[in-house]
Amino acid sequence: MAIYTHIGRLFQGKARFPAYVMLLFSFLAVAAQKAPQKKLKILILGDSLTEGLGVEKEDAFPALLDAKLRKWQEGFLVINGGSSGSTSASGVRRLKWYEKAQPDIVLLALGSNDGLRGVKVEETRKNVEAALRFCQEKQWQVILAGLKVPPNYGADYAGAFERIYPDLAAKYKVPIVGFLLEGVAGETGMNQADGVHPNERGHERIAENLFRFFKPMLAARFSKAAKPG
Amino acid sequence: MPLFLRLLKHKRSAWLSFVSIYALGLSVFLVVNGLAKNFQEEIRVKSKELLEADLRVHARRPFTGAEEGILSRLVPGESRKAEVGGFLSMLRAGPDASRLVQVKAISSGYPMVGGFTFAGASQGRWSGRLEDFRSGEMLVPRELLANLRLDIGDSVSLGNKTFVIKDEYKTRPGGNFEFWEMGSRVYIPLGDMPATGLEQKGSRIFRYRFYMLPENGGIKDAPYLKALRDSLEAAFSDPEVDVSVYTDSGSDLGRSFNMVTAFLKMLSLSAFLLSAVGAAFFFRHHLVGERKTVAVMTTLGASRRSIVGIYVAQNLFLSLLAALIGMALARVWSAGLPLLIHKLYAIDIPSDLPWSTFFIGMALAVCTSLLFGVTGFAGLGRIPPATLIKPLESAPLGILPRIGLFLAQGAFFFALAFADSRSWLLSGLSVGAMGGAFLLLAAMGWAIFKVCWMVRNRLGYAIRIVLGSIRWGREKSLLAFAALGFVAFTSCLVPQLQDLILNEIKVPKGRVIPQLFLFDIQEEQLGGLDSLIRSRGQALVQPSPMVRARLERVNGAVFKRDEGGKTTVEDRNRQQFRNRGFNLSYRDTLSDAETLVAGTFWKGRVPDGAIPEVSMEKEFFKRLKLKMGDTLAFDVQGVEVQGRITSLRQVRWASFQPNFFVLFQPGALDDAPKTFLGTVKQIPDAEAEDIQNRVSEAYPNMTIMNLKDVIGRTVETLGKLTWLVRFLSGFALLIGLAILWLVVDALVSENQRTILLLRALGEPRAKLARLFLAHYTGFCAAAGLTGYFLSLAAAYLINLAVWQVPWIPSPGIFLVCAGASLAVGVLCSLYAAYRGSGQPLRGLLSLSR
Repeated sequence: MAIYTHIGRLFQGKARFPAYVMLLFSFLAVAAQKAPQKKLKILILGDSLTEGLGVEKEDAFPALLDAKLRKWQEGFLVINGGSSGSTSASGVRRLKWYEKAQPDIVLLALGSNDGLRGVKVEETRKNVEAALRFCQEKQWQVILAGLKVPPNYGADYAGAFERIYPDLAAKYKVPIVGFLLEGVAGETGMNQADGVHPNERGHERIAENLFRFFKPMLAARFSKAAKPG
Repeated sequence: MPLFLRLLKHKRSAWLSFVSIYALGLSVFLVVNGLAKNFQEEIRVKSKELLEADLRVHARRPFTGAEEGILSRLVPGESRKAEVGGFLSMLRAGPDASRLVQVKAISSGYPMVGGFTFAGASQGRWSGRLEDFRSGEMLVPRELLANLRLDIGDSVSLGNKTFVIKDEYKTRPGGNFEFWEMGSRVYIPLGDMPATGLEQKGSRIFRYRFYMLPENGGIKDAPYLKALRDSLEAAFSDPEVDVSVYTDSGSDLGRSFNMVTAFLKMLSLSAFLLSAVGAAFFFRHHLVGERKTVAVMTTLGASRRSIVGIYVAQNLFLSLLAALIGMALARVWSAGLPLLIHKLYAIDIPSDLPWSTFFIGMALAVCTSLLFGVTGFAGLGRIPPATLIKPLESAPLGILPRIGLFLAQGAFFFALAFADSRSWLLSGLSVGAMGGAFLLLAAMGWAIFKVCWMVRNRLGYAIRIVLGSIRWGREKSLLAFAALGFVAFTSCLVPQLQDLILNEIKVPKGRVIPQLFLFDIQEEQLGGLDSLIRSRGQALVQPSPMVRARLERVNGAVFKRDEGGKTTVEDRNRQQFRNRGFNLSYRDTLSDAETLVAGTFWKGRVPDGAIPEVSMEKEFFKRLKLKMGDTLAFDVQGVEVQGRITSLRQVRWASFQPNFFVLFQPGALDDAPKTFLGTVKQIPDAEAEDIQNRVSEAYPNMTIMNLKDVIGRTVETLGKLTWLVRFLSGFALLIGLAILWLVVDALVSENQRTILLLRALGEPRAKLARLFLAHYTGFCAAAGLTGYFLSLAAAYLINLAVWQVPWIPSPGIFLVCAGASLAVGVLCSLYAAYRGSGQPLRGLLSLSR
């Protein structure tokens, strides 16, 4: 009982201000420790590349990234929001479907089908921008994934398409994964027979690239969350 | 004149019947077989046109030196070859005008099968020969010129290279539609490909190598081609190198064509077997009538061998005559019918009958006739001279030799069926169904007679006399019963199988055939798109939602793909099929291209809290090894949606409507992210082009495809198949009718003695008429209905083994069969009345002569 009496006096005497401050820090510290336990949801919104067409779901890069993040630290959930054949036009509508899931971070990997179908670059830009703004309105952190079309589409089109992503990232000040298929596109042994969709090795490579991208960003996010003020 | 001809002279009408029926049956066999073979050849040529060669090897990169070595080692040296580079690229026609195109960079020697037709060349602007197609030139389709507002002679660029449009092609080689080909095809010389600068690391450029194999030593036959393909696939270590031969080039018509081919083969065999049975029935009847003549010859000292020789010579002469007439008939029909059909329906049917068919026909006619007549010939040697005084009561040949002969006849037809179809299943089914039906009919006839005989004392004396007459000639009566039933069986089986086939392949009258297919329609774009198309005087047909999902679990267990080697393209395709996602859809009702084959289809939306119902396409369901009632858990883009399989559907994919493997009950997927798929019906080219341009302008995300040519070709071929099935079925039934007449004639002849005897004993004509009306209608109805029910069983079994398509027996066939059986019964009694209408004693006297 004596100890409770001493603590009670602490909050009544001259030292009551520092005591209140200490109590506040204690709460913050506890809150910061608990943060990873509430899973941080990363939604990857994309097309067949994300869905993992031709490979098992657990071999697709979202599942591999999920495994890598969990191995690094508990408390993540990566949602595979890939839909084969989808174009950027369906971006906002599909994001609405994920409102229920309440993602914290959204990686937008939209537009590769637009490029392969030769959709006008302005149209793709408009759709990706709309998706990006939707996420920001919902206060979900957005990350853009850069995409390219193969060089056989011609330098003009390929160049204009490629520029969509860094331009939007700069305009909206969001982080960007330079090229989603870095080290995979056009590489022997990384793709399925169609030459478009990554195989298991390709997906592993994408997941590794993304893990390297996310790890420092998430670490900073946690340390920021853990620090007071 | 030889004795065998002199003996025939007295039975002119009988042998005319034999020859006409046998010739008719043979001609049907030849025509059906010939047309089916010609049609198969046409499909084969089309397959070659689809592949553009006998052999095609392609990879998504240039071939390595080792691969070139394999090709030069394994592909026959004298083969002609051509090369093509294929890739997608943006064609620029100005600062703001560009379109995605499918570039085909072609070498000299291309195309090896099929060809181009050009608009400009037809106006004399150039030769139209590809030798005059030079560097820096491009060949384009009309829709591209219209889209980019270009003309022949204008300049466009691909990558770093500028091309002049040489001409507009109206038709091009190949013609197969590859789904990923999102743009119009343009052709450039292969030598210009490097100058475009588009071939870089990361470029998706396919290299095709086409080969036409030399025309010798069966090198183009399917077994050789398959072996060549297998050896090439085994030699290429990289499974990305794809090898195809024309015999396995994909065709939308594959299933329909296989169904029709199987049907036609069964039909032609049945027609021939039917005519052979008819001819054998006749010849047996003829030989029975000749017993007294044989007895006279035996009494006069003729050796048994020479007697048998006379009748074998008769048989040979008649069957050769029938073969010649049958072949001539087949020739006339095969030449005339396609002309008639072309006039009536504007459908071209290949008409030439190969000469080999005639030799086969000749050999078949003689062999079959001899084989079916052998029972009668063997019996001839056993007819005693006493037959002149006392009719022979028992059959001259014992039961065991007859069973042996029956089995030999079955084996002969099985060998014939197998040689024709190369399929154990089809041969077994054809011969098994026919032979089994004949035996069952004979057994049924025997059972019916036994029952009647057991209760004969309760029947009137006249009926007892009839039964006694049947008993006395029970073998002939049984044969007549079986033959009648067999005619009914075949005549009912053919239309039932025909219904099965037509239900699968025919394009119903009034069906709206789509031309434009629109993909990736967003929900919010549906209204606007519909208004746009309506403003052009057309409508968006059947927009169907499409929800992308992945099957995660079945009954709570993780759904796993088949593990195993994935070395071949087929293995990989199968793997992709099994582990790929699904396109789900939902609807209130079945479309008219779907038939429920198991379970029940839902009514209304899924109730709150209930597991939604799922309907699956039958074949897909089998491939995934699922069971009715299974609960499936789909990952619909991160959200789990469950459904229970409550029904299976048969889908007619040739309906050209949006159809889906998996359908959900409405309410379960309404909120899921989805796109729509819609179509626009066939319209004139200018209107289609206008809609394509306006839709591309207003909704750049949408993909709009004009499949007029592809669908047009498919509909045309299905039309031909439908015609073939309908016409040849009717043709085969003609033989049934002809044989029917033989049986009726024989049946009445058998009873003529009884009729005359009863009349001589003072039985009034009216009573006799009633008696024989009851006798023949009962006899024919029993035989006809037995044949009908056997045909139901046979149709069910054949469908189960060969096609597995939904089938409900048509009540119309039953009514027609019952009506026809009664009509034949009435006809028999009228004919009997006619035959027994003269002076009874005179008639009896002439019969005993």
